[in-house]
Amino acid sequence: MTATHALPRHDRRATGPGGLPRLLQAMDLDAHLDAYGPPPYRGARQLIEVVAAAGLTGRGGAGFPAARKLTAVAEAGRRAVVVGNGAESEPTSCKDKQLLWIAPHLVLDGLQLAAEAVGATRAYLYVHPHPGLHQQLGSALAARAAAGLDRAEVQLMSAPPRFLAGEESAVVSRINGGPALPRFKVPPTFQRGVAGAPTLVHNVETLAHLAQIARGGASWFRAAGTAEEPGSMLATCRRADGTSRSPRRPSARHSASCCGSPSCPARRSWSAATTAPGLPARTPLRCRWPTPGCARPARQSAPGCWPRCRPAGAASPKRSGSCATWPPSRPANAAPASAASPASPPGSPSSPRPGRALGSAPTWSGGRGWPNAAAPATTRTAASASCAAPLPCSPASSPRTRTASARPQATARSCPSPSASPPAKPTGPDR
Amino acid sequence: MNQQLRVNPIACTSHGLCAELLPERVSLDEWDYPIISSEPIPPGLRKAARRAVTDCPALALLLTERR
Amino acid sequence: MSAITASTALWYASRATGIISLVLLSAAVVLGITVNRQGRLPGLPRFAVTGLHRNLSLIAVLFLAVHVLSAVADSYVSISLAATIIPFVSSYEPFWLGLGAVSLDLLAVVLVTSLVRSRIPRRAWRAVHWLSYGLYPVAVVHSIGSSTDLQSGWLLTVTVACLAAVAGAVVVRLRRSTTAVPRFRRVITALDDAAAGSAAGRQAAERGARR
Repeated sequence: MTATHALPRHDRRATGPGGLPRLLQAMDLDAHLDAYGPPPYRGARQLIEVVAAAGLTGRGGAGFPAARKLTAVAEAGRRAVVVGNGAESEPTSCKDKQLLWIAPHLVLDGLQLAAEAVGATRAYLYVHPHPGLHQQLGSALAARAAAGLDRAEVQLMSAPPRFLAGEESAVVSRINGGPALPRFKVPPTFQRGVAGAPTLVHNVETLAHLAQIARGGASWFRAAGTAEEPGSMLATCRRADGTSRSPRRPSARHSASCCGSPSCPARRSWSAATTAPGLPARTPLRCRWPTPGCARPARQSAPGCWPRCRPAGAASPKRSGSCATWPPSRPANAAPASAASPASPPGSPSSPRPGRALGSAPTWSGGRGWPNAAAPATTRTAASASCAAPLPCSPASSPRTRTASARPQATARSCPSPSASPPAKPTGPDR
Repeated sequence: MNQQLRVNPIACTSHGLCAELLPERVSLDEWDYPIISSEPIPPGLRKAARRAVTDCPALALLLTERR
Repeated sequence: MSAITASTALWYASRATGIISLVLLSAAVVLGITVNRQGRLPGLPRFAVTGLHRNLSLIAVLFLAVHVLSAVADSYVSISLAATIIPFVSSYEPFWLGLGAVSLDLLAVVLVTSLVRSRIPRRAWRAVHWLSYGLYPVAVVHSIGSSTDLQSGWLLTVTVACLAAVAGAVVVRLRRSTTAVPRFRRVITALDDAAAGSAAGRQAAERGARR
């Protein structure tokens, strides 16, 4: 993976219900500013209130309410420090790494907003060593510095590639110059952490959600998920043999890219490793498993089940090599109506994003606007409306049978010819 | 105000004195590491708890004020 | 054998308490190593080993105080109080008494830090306590050199026995600390092994899947 990999421009069209996926939209700084605008600094108290109303909980595994952590550090009374913890350390999880790779500016926005909320002028981004990721993040930070977006100074820290290096007290110990091993937290980190200052340690996914909540508001965040566990969350889907990468030559055996649906027959060959506790069954999971040669599914055939990409009209899923490739070949401002016409290629696919809207209307109000929460997220079909309910998915079934279904489908979209080279997938240890 | 006994699990080297000095709150697992109950320390046990804290060879116990 | 008269009582008291302090100090060092190695004494609970170490040390300090003060008070030889604290300034046997002063100073630091043990940082207390390994040999050399009592007879036997006990305990302590991997390193090794194990397992599974 070279450091010069250019992130594609993001596709602002809506996808699944609740505007999913939310985080995994690959953007470089220009695309990010185009979509989101600069970080909405507006004072500590406001942000904490919005986060509290949104009910954001930590996405690092503990699920602690983010607003309480923010309040505790903000009220500590001294100059605080913020740490973005991207060292997930779970051997089978790589969601944080993917997020940092694909959408680093969301995370960095969240880091800046959290720093403003607790009154910090120093921030750290703590990441496992990974070829290319540090350079990627370094160049992202440099681009932001050049654009004058950041108020807190961010330092990139390397975490040792081992379990427990991502534990909160281990993070603080490492940043303080000691070993990345847990310490006895007395006094607790939010009172005494990095260099004796009150320290806020948040998972990078939590920070990314925070960046979106600051713009979209609490009700937007709560549009996905359940009342008890609002919002969306990232999870790593792995097959039972431990691999999470798709094979180079797709075969019928590997045609299943479905995950998450508990009654999915392909699930027996899957094991989902998630770092989020109590993942509600109703929240559609997104497989971060990049299908080779294809970055997005052509159609959503069953709720909660994300079939692999295949070109319109293709009979066999094995021919997915001719699907839309990543990076895309057209700019992001594709009109949604063009999705219905086979002639016009679709908008830029970004990271593998299953659950694409089915002939949907965009939710983005254009430009730097934020999706209008009141507008329908998608032109829902009966099938996708029940996306929250897990239904059996049969990814091994022939797509020919699906073509006959009455569900509106986005197969009207044609995948552009594979002009671009196969996407440079983030490789490296799947830890 | 209630006091609570806590152990620093990283400093503890399983000497096991605490279970002998404060058996009402501390029991030992199969490797002689302490399992401390989260019940508060009543005034009658405070002296024993203080002794456990000062006698621990690894200085791994501490008494915290419980809100 | 000379009779203990009023004038020599203090001198004898100093010598006697000195010998007793040495024996008690030897026992304290051996018990301290026993505590560190989590050893048990037959029939005694764990806290008794620690308690015995602390109490014997305190009694040794008491006897040592009597030893020092009686030596100062005795008029047979002039040993100033300053000479008991500042090494090598005594007019009588400056070298041997100087060694005694050194070990007394070290013992004073160890004593004070141990009395406030729960209030000072753990590492600070441990670092100072390590001085015990230094003060004991110095005290032994002082004992042997400053009077002829321990150089012959059954007191020599007692001295040799104390030395042997402490030397044996120190050998045990050194063997464990040189052969045992420090906990810090054990943790890191265990974590790395776990990661390597899971990676190897994954690779084996991938190889199996490809076949």
